[in-house]
Amino acid sequence: MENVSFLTDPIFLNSIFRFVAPILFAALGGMLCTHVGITNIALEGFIIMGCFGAVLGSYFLKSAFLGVIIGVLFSVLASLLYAFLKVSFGADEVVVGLALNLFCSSMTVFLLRSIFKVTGSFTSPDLKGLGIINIPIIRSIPLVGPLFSGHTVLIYISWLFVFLTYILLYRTVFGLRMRGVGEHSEASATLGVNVHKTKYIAILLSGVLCGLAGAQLSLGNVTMFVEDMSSGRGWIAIVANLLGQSLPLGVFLSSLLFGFVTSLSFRFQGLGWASELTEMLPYIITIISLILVYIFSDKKRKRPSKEILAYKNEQMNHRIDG
Amino acid sequence: MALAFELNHIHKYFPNVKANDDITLAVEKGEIHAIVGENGAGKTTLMNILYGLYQPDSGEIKINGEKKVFHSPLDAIKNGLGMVHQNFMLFSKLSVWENIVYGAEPVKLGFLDKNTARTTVIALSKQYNLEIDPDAKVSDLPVGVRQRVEILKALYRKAEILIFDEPTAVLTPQEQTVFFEVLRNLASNGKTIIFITHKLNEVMAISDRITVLRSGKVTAQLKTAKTSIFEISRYMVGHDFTFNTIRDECPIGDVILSVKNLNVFDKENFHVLKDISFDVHEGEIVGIAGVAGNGQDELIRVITGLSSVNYIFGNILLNASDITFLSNRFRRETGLSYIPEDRTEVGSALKASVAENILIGYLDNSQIVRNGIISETQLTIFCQKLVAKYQVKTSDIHEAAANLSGGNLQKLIISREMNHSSKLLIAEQPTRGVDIGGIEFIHKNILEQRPQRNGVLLVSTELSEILALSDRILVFYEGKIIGEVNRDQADENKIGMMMAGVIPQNS
Amino acid sequence: MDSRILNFWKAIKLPLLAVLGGFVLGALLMILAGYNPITGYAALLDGAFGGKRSANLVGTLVRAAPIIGLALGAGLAFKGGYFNIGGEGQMVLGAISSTLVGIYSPFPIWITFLLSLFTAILVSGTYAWICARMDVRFKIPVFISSLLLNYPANYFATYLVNHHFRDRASGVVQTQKIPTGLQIPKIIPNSQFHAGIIIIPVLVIFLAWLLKKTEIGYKIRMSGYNSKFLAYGGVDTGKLEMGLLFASGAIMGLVGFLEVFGTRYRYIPGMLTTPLYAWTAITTAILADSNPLGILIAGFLMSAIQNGGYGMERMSEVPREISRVIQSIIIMIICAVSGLRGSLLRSDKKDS
Repeated sequence: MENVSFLTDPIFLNSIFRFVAPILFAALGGMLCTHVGITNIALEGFIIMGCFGAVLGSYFLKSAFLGVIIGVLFSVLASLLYAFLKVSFGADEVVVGLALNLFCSSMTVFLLRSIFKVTGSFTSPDLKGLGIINIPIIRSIPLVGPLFSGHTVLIYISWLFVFLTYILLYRTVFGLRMRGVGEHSEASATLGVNVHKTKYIAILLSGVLCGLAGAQLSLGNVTMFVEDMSSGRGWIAIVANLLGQSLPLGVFLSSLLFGFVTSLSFRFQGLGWASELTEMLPYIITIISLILVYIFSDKKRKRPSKEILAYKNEQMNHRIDG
Repeated sequence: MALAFELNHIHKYFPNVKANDDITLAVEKGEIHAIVGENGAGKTTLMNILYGLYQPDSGEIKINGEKKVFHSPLDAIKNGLGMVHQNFMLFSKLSVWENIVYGAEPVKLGFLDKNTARTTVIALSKQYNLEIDPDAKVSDLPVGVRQRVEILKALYRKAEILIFDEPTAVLTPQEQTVFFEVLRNLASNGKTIIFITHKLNEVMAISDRITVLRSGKVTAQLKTAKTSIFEISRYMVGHDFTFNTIRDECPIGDVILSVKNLNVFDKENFHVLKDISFDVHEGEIVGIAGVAGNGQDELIRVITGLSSVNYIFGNILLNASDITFLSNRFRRETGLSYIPEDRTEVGSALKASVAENILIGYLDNSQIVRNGIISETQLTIFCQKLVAKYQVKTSDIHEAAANLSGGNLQKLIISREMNHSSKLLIAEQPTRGVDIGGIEFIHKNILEQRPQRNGVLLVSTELSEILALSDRILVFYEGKIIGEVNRDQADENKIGMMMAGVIPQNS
Repeated sequence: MDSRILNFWKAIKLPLLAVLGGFVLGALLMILAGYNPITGYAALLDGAFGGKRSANLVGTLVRAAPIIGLALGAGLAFKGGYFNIGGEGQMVLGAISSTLVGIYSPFPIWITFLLSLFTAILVSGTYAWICARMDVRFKIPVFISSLLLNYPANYFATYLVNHHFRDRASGVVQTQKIPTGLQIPKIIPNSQFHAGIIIIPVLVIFLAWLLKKTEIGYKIRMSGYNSKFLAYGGVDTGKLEMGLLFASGAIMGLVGFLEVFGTRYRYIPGMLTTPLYAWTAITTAILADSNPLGILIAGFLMSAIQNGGYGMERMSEVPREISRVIQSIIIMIICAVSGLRGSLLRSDKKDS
């Protein structure tokens, strides 16, 4: 009964990167934090701040571009608060993340009601959304065309950021220092690196990225602000980062996977496929991969040398879990 | 010959101890200088001062004749110092070249100049004959090679004076030989080498001059060519006072603990215990002597069942039961008590109360814990008795254990463990941080195990403590029992030499 | 005696400061947004405690029950040093499984009732236990696994209702109602206050007693202080972790069961997640430092703030979200000060 012809439907193909982009932005932000040794679970909060700020900016400043700027600004402010609590005060990572998420989601709704005097959602014909950009020539190629062309500028920028974050991490001095801070902050400090400053910058950068994610959601995917419109993408981004092993390419691929699964589930909703089951997938996949990663590294660590094998053959032994 | 550096009249105090007491040391350029001493002699502290990790309370540092003050390692590095710590400060997920240039990276057009970094590293490694693959990930490298990365790190920053803290502690014998070649090479290139060690045969093999520290003071400065291991160890070992312990004769009984052919490979698959076999009998105190880090820790952890190593081969029998792979709980129930070395992270829960710290050892006491319910009154009575008996100074057994002084915390732990009067008592550094009166009291209690037909396995880096208490002494060196000495034949110098890796010619 | 009073004051200082700070900053926010904080807070108080015949107070108590219950479950795990933040998923699974048992069980009423209760506890306890097992075996931190498992649980429950157990007659996505005999009666008429709510304060007292007076409570507390110490003393910390997390999850399941069998009598997707009970509960547990009696008070306070927020919006112009903003500020103050102090849960490097 399943008709897979939808896979070639241009509308479906075009939707894929629309779902990928917000996840990708946020996951890249989470990746930068991971590299300085921080597990940032406030991504969800940063995103929703970006959503609201973008709508606020676009409405009052009458420009989608300025809307994006304001969206980023809102998200960066939230990330600054996060950094302040986490780095300067040394607060517990998970608690701070949860508090920030709660703060951001409630703050955006509060501002929605206070500023726009509406509940639930806000939209207006005066709200300037992000325009669609069609790439000449590419747009006409079957399959490839709808997939890669016909997107907002932010979606194209999200691809760019995969390269930019790669360059930052592996080709700049700051990126090298970030990676050192994340792994062994004491050693970094003795070699003259300002650990606090490095962490702050990484967190603020994640704020920028999440702001872009939010702007894409509220000015790109749709042109409105809806309460809690980030709807768990921040958590998926965390998962995408985990699954992608905090590597730019890995994060891109896992974001692609989760974005694809999301667009699939939207497509199938009408056809009676269980969207809930497809939405479960990212989380299950991540747990399984975490388990596999552990098993692999454990086996590698315990791989017996020739010397040990000699003992093993000679006598009975048990391996103790170390 | 020009002086590379001078340390003049360095004094350094820590809360309970004078780590460096009027130390004066001058080292020439191109010299390989060894600093030897027992644990706690002050060697690492002195070098940390030279490297800027600590500031001396008084005294001065001179580099190339100029007086210098180091507020941090960065200042020391700027003045040509480099240090290879005992625990490497490397980024295991980064590559060799990234580790070496970290913090002082070459830049091209605003970006990290990978090419220049790599070529510089390659050139450096060729210049000093330190074979290395610049692109290898540090976590993939064996320990001996990782050390080379640390050395190159210092050389990259133009270090002229290189300090090594226990450099051969984690090296295999083959790697050690290579390491000595490296040192000779560096010295011939005009670098000044200082290394801290307790291994006297290495000192004899490679150094030009030796400074011996004991209890924070310099006891000797010797020319290697003109001295001997015997002389060095005489200056190293020695005590400030004699323990006045009265020992009665006590006959030895049955075997309590039997360790047979124990071979252990730790988390890094390093062969940390090599073919260990020994017994502890009723009425006997067996002392394990040796400089810290020669396998004693792992031995005790394996015997108590608190280890996390990769492989254990061999057998451990307690009261005739094979406990090699059984739980710590089972071992305790079979007859084991354990005074751990780490009193704050392992032996106690600082945030819990004194009473709660005692309770962990008596959860099976039916007076205190009835049907899973704790009787506050019974616990209080019990704790007050215990605390009084073992002279633990505490104002209120409900106060947090963190309020106790170090010595009192130690006495608390000892009271909890020794009150069981278990067949086997394992005591690691039992009197560390305890005042003289407390030490005597604890030693008396340990000795009292003998007439009670119990056995004691004592691990201590204080040789004088081992000598005062043990009936038999096993000396650990590089994971092996290098020698066994009976009480009546125990001689400080002989044992000191064994601790430093020298097997005596005649027993 | 003296030290006990001192300890109490020490324990209460920070939460008090945080709550005060939250309200002060909340007032500031109101002013900035153009609202009058005085009328706003007055409306909040009425919304929390007032109303016709104290209807609002009853409402606050009703909302407090699941918050306190979930906070007790989370707090129990926190006390042992394990960051179980999967309460929402555990509660949902407990709710849906017990509902289905209640609807489709062929057994007589009393047996079915007990069976449903037992199912809720078993299912959610096991779900939490899985996180502990993965920590012991694969070293996956509990906070990551419990967080990740929230979503599959929620989606799965919704899936079951949507696609298999929907009450077709009602036309809405929800299960049928459980049989009348299973429905827990309401104690206060014209309200949602049901007999099951009584269990909550009982649970508070039980857990307070357990932690202070029993051997297992002692082990849990020591685990939170220093699990290396416990292992050194011969306690099997792996077993303790697994048993503790099972208990923690079981409490979440109990809460889910009570919400279904006491208030709505059916499972409706979102009924447990939209009010954000689980997240409020976590902040409650943190505010009370995982102390059961403290959780009782803090949970009531959080519920009052939340319920009061609804009333505040009805009577003044201030949007009810301000209450959640205030809650988040309270938590931020607490974690900032605790961070300065050096630790919030454990000094062990166990989680994350």
